[in-house]
Amino acid sequence: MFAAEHIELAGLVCALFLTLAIFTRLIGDNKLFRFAQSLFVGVTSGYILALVLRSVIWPRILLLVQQPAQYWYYGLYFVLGLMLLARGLRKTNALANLPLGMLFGIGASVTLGGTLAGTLIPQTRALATPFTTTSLNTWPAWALLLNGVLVLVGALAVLGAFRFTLPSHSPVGFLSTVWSWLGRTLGRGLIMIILGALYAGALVSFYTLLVGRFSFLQQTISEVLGRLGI
Amino acid sequence: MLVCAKCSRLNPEGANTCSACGASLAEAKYRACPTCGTINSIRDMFCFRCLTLLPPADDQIDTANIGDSAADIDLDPLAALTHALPEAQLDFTVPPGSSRPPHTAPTGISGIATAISQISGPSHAQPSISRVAKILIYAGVILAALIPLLAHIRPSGATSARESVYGLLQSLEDIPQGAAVLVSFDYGPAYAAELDSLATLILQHLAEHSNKVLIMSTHPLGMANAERLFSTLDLPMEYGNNYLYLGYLPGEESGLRLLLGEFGSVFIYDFFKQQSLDTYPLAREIESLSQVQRVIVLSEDAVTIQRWIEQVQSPTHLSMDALVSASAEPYLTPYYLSRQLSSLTGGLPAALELQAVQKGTGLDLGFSLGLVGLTLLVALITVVTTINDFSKRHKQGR
Repeated sequence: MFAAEHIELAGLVCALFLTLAIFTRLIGDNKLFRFAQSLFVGVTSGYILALVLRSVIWPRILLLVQQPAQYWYYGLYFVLGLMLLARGLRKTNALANLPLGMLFGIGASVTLGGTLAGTLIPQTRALATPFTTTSLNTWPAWALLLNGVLVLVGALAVLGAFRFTLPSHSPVGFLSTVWSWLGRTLGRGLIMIILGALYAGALVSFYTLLVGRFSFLQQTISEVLGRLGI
Repeated sequence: MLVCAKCSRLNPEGANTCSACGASLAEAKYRACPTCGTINSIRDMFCFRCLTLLPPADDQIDTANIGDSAADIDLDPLAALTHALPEAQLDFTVPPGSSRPPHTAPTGISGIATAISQISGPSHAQPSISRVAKILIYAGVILAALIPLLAHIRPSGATSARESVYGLLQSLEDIPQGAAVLVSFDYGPAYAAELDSLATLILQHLAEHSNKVLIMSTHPLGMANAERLFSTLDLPMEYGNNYLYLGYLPGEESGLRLLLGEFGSVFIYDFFKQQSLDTYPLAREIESLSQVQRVIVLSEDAVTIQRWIEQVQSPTHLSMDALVSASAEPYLTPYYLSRQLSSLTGGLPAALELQAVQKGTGLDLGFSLGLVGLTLLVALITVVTTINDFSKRHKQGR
């Protein structure tokens, strides 16, 4: 039989091979890359299926079987889940409408409520924070005011860049035209800078991952060569 | 079979013009697999579905597709980066009365090539310059990535760190000794290189301060990460008394909303031994979020943190620390500035700074050099693409 260290060595070699197989994509599409990609997708799908069965579904089945009077509602959930599976057959696909409706309805209400209370309202309120913040008490008053004005104008300009309506000739329409002009000029410029910052952040992140992979390759090759006595 | 770019009709390999509309097939970007009929990019070597070796693309067609075509972007390993600047999204407003056509200026990598070609000379040189620019960028990224491995110099002495690192340290210090902390490992193995360092520092800090740690994940692969990390760390913590794996929580927004109830109704068994939560002293002591002092979320993306804020932090007003990848940090800064997050720290650079500040050692010079190289590269790409974009807009405005 294989010793534990042999199995560990085989694991390292496999990891090394798969990492290099993924890197071969740099020189173009090839079967090695496709193999590694398919393997990763397959293994990940299998793991997630096993995880959900073991951690989410099976414990609830056990509770339903052992204490049906207390956990009867799990039975209802399972029935709804089975009705979802009916979506795959043309004759029974209407059965899936009820659970799908519940999923979308509940999902939308939970998301909408959370977005309003957790993002829209607090972020709108935060627009005024630079004028009142206590963390910037060391700043002179004019700097605090300027900071607040810049944040406010910047936010309004970016919002103005997302306007789709035509301006009218009323007094309100004049304000609308000014806002639209602000959006087209300052707002778009700010959006470009923001996207540039996001782009740079993504690059730093991917760069770190690349360093991690190179480091893994370096360590694994040293380890494998060391164990083989080379 | 070549797919006509104009009318989508399939034409035999080698044809010069479309048999239906007469358009030139030099513009074709896709071809059908001769075995299974799947539409592939014209530059693919193998069929996406059946892996059949596709016939070699005509040189003329291949050259015509270099640049900012969809096929080119699809094949480019840096495509994810170029997608960070979605040009179409910037073009949503058309001035009233204007008949300006849709703007299709290239951005990202191909944008650099276009800008360079505009500066350096006539447009016929664009394809070769585009290739050179791509090679330069690949070489720059690889060089920047190799610098940390090549230079192993560690200067001693104290170092300064960014504000967010001190913010995280202060936030961790504010957690009372022995208090309960919920840690969510919401990242997969792909981001382990970036987030493991931060997770390690957090866990070591919590262990040193005798905090009780409840571990969960909303990422399917997150618990595997947590187990792997705990197995490599020799922390003075006992399972069930000092820390407990609650498990994987599916359902995204709805799942997180369930956390507002008792842990026992969401996680029936623990993740590690598959025993009822009631069998563990820690689970009997900490039954719900109301008994938790702090929530720490380690996430690879910004959306997960946003979900946590909207579904958990907002209704409970719990203090929450976000430790994220560098790509997610800019998206979440507004939540930190509005104080919905107690601290926001992103990426491996922050982890190294945190480590250096905690231990009073210097930064890894090799890593710093790499970061400087990368920053220069980022600055170059940003400046050239922005100049290119402004130039295009200016020309179209005229």
